[in-house]
Amino acid sequence: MEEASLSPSRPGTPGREGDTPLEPPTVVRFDDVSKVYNGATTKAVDGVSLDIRAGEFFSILGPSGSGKTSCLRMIAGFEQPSSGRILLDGVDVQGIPPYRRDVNTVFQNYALFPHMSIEANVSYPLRMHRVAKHEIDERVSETLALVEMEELRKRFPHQLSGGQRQRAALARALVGRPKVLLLDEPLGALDLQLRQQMQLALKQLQRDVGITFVYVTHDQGEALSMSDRMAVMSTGHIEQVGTPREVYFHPNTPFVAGFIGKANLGRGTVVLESGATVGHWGGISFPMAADTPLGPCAFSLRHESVSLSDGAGDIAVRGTVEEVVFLGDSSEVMVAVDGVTLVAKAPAHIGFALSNGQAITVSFKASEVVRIDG
Amino acid sequence: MTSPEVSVAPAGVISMESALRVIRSLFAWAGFIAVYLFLYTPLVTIGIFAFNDSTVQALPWSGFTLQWFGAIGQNGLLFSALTFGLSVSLLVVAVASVVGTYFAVVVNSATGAAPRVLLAAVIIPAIVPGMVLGLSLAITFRLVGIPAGLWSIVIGHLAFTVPVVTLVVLTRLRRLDPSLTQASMDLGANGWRTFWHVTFPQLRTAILAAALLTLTLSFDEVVITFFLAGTQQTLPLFIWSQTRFGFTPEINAIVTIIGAVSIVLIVIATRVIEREVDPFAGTGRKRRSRRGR
Ligand SMILES: Nc1ncnc2c1ncn2[C@@H]1O[C@H](COP(=O)(O)OP(=O)(O)OP(=O)(O)O)[C@@H](O)[C@H]1O
Ligand SMILES: [Mg+2]
Repeated sequence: MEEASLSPSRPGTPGREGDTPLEPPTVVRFDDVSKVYNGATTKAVDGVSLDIRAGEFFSILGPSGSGKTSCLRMIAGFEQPSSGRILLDGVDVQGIPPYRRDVNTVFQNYALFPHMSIEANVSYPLRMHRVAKHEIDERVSETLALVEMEELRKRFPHQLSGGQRQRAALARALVGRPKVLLLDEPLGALDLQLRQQMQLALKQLQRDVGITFVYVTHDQGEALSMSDRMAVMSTGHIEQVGTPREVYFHPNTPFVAGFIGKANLGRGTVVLESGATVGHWGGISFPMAADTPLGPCAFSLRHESVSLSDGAGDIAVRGTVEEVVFLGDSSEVMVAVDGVTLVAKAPAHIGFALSNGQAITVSFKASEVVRIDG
Repeated sequence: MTSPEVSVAPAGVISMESALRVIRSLFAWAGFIAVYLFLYTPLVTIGIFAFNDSTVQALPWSGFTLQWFGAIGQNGLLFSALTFGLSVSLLVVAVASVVGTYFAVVVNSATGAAPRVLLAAVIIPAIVPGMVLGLSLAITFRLVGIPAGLWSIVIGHLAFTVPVVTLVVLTRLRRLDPSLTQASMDLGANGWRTFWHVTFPQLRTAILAAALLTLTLSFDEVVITFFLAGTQQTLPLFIWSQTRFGFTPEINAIVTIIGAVSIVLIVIATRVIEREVDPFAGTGRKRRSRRGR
């Protein structure tokens, strides 16, 4: 790859062979990065290796305190890795200050300069890079148009609503056309409806400008709906990297299965029975793909994969209703089956018709059961 | 049982209580007024005598005059003490504002135990008794060979005004949103340009307030100045030496002017400091727009 030659010290970097020529080049690379804050005893970021490719919408998803912001701040240059390397465009950025990195951040609290108008805020990065005056005017107008903020350009930050401030912050971060845009829970302070509108707008914007977005969130819905690829983090390390589809339907670890969506999780084993690979989960048995590793493992089955009728899947089992939880648009029905409690997601009116202790048949597709190591 | 007495009794208690409350608040007000009378009567008295057409500082009132204000200019010693004192104070304000702001920025950006040590080192001169500071500076200056005069007084005043500026500016700095500096660096400004474009504009009001405070502190400082002054006296030293021979009316006049000017400065300073606590207090929030969705 071309950018490999830009970096002075890269021979032997693991994982490099995995790149195929068809994939866009890597713009951000984490190479076994760890971060221990001064005075802390545990690692905030623990051995993260990651490739973020040019032009993609990449999300980092994880619960509070999992190290997402720390990763972002190391890319921006506000924190230095305690060990490992971060490469931007193939160049090790160790020691390069934030103002010399071609990366801009949209802060969670927007961090608009309170003493400057929106116009002055947005032109700030261009002025700092000594762009010619007429070009500044042009690009500021263009970028404000992009986020539909032209009429508000003379206002000050305190004269804007939360959503407008968010867009102003976005314009300010985009106007310098950075290689990578970092967004730290940029929609966190907005109400639900506005958040959903902004999700669509952000995704659209990212496609239009073609800049790599690294988007940090603890909202799985946001990550799943917006990302090209995503990383799931927990306690400082990466659990899984993949497309939203892969992460949702093929979780690699029990943590991912439990964190994304809602899934039935349990321990079982995979065995070979008269030539067929069979999974045993409590008293439930089901066929598995022939190449499935044998031995004890964990199983995951999504709530929506469990059906309350016996014809919907190839595996049907008898059980009794333990509890019905009403959720508004749907209900969760817990069914005890042979030592396993399976939770099924059902339309609300079906949930209402059930009573505790009632016998019922549930079914699922054997292909939707995911085997997980651990 | 619902006899009328039952319903009357609580009403009686309430009126007793409220009477007590009125009495108590009367006492509180009386105390308040007494204290303020005590504080302001001398000020008002001096002000009155500044306009009294008599060289004797006593009632009865013998008519209104502005001649004592005009006499300030004629009294050569008084006038040179005034201009000398002003030059000292303006120099002190200029240097203390810059140095104090610089110290505040250094203390604020230091990490670990350094800020506490640095701050203590800056502040101790301000809390050492003026007599100790004045005497030790006077001895040191003599050893080093700095002559008593303008610069020795300026240095002496800096010792206690720099800490004041440092503290006022530091308080403001610590309230600033750290993500603003980070945003500025993120957008391509180095440390110096970040300070100039983002930090300093948000410190301006604090620096102005500190400068006004420094001006009043320096202008009427007596103890340290007493140890450091040469033959040329500052205004308060001059006035103090004059009062040993009795007040003259032009001193009333100049004290009245100074009193009035400092009240104006203090009002401005507190206004500025209040505004700084919430720069958008009042109408700002109401003007927020809800359109553009
Ligand atoms: N400046 C710091 N000093 C010491 N510890 C820190 C610092 N910043 C973060 N940490 C710790 O590092 C860990 C990861 O923090 P980080 O902010 O990266 O989490 P996060 O995933 O962004 O969480 P959230 O979703 O709550 O923002 C946490 O345990 C946190 O307490
Ligand atoms: Mg965070």
